[in-house]
Amino acid sequence: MANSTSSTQDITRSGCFEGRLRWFRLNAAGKWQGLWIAYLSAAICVLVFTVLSLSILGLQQRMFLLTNETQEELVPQFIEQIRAVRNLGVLIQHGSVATRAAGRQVRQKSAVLATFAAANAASLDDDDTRQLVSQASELIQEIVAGERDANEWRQMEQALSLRADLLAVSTGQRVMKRASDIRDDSLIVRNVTIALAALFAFSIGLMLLLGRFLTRRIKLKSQLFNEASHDFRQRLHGMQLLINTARRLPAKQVSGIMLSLTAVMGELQRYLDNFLEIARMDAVAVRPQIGRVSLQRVFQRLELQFEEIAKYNNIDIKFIHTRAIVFSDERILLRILENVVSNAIKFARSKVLVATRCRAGVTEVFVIDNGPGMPDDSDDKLRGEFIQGDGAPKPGATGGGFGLGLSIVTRSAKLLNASVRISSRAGHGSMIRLIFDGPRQHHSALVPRKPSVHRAGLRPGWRSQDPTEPMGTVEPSNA
Amino acid sequence: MKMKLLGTGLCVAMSCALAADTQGATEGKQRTLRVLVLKDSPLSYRDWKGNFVGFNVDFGRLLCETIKAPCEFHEIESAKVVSSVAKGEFDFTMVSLIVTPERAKQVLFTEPYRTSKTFWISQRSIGQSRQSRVAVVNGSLQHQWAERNKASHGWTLVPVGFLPDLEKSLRDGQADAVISPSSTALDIMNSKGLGENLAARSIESDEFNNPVAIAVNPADKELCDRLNAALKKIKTNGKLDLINSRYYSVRLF
Repeated sequence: MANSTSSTQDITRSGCFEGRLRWFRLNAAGKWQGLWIAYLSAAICVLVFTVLSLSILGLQQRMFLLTNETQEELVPQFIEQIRAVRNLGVLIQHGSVATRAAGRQVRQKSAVLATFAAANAASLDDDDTRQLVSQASELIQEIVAGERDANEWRQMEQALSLRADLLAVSTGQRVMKRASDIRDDSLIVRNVTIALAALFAFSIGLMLLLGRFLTRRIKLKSQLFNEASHDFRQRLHGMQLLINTARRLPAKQVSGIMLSLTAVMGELQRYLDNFLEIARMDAVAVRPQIGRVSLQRVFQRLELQFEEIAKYNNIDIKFIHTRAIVFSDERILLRILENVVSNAIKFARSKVLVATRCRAGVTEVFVIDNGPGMPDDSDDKLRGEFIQGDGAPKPGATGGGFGLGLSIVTRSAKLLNASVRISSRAGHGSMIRLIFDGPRQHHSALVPRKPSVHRAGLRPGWRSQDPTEPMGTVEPSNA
Repeated sequence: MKMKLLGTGLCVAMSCALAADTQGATEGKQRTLRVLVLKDSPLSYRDWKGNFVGFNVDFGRLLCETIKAPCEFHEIESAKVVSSVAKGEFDFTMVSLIVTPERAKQVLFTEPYRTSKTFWISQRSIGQSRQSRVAVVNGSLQHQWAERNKASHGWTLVPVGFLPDLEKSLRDGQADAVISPSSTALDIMNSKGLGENLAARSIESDEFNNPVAIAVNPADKELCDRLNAALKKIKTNGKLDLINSRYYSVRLF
């Protein structure tokens, strides 16, 4: 156990970066949807940023106007009212002396001073106060002249005091209102500025995430093309070598070379198909046609397709009967399993088993081979497009590596909301599980056919289904 | 070639600097404004040294200081004030001139800064003033009003040259009553020896209750605007209040 090497990979949960970008990928079908959401979010951020900036500008302009108006109009008005209040006080004071003093001359002088004060006891646009002080001035002079009773002054004095109070209070209220206006505007400006700062930070974060997402995509794509071109070149080179060899050999021996050449051509054809499929999945938002899919029917088609190939490669392939039904896209599912089974046949030394298992609402399809397996240091590579174990047949030989096939498997599985797990042990074989664990997965027929594994000649160690559990007991029986 | 270009550049720079200096000097040296005040008025008079003093003089100096222009004061009798400014002989007046439509056609007026009052001062009321001799300042608004009303009241007008002459006419017995602006009325009522029964009463006429403003040379609209801005400023910064308090216990504006 200690010397064994195994690896368990959850391809769909490949690292924390993938996790952070999970919301970009709301569903597997819209791989570009996340990117468009990011673009839309950025556009909305810019729009809101612009609106908020313009709002701040507008508010600042309003505050500027308020401040200017306060300085140019309100303050002079305040001062004028303060003067009016003071002159009203002087008018009341001199009026009282003019109407109550004993000496006639004192009364006369006070009457003149009261009239003097009354002349400027109201601002030019305050008609009510102007009228009142005019009446007061007239009353004082009539009382001094003996034309009216001095007691009438008392009522006028009260009216003047009341007016002075009103002016003073209204001045204070105008100051308060203006201060409130400016304070309210300042608060709005502060809040909008905070919102702007938050939005700015959010936008920067979004841009960083988007940048990392795009960088990763570009990097992966660049890697795909680099490695694909390398593989294409290798295969073509292999073909060139075979052709050169055929030229030098006598005609009788050429037929063997031609068989090899045909196999390499077929391999190249499949490789090209896979490459084009990946390109198509990258360029087009493929929408799966989800429906009830009988896994048994899929197995039958696969059996028909691979029976002869397996025989040709001396591989004993078994499809365990199942009644399981899954909600999936049959075409895509078939494509996935074609790749997986094809790969297993290529690498298996003698046996391949294809079976299902339904447990706790989860349906699994697993493909087991007793091939060379993959070392555990290939964890990162498992996520890439080109994966071939050390023991994989080399291009140019019959049955090229898994290569692009696994990439198609993982991408297609995402479209079906399924996950792919690879368990492998170097020198002992590999198991690939396709797990349907969505809420709508149907498993009307449970097929816990443990003996099926034994019937396939593979040991029960493969049944370790916990993704966190190392595959320590995987060992094909004939290894 | 480089030296030649450098020399040319230096010459241009020096010329520009010189031109800027000359312009600055021209701007700095403003023309002296000629300010008109009433001769021997309670609001503008000469002290024992012959210097102009009084509320209107200090008010005028404050305005000149605010608009940053040098001023020189000239005195004139009431009758010639409007015509002199209208001819452009003086830049503006510090005369407490009541704004009337007729005057507004001849001169420019600033924004009003206070309201005027005119008093009837006599031992008799206006209603009992038939056959009275009424003193007024020659050419003043009060003179014009008295001319229009003398027939209905049976007054005989006694025109005098200057405001202090109103008190003199009462004291000398040349007049039984005077029609006086507020500041002079205050002085008359404070004078002694004019009789116990002397009474002052404001004349409530729309002509007299008009606001008071500064008359400006009609050809100098820019000066009028500058004076308006200065008025607004000194009414707000408290400097005018200081001058007011120096002369009167009540607000003149």
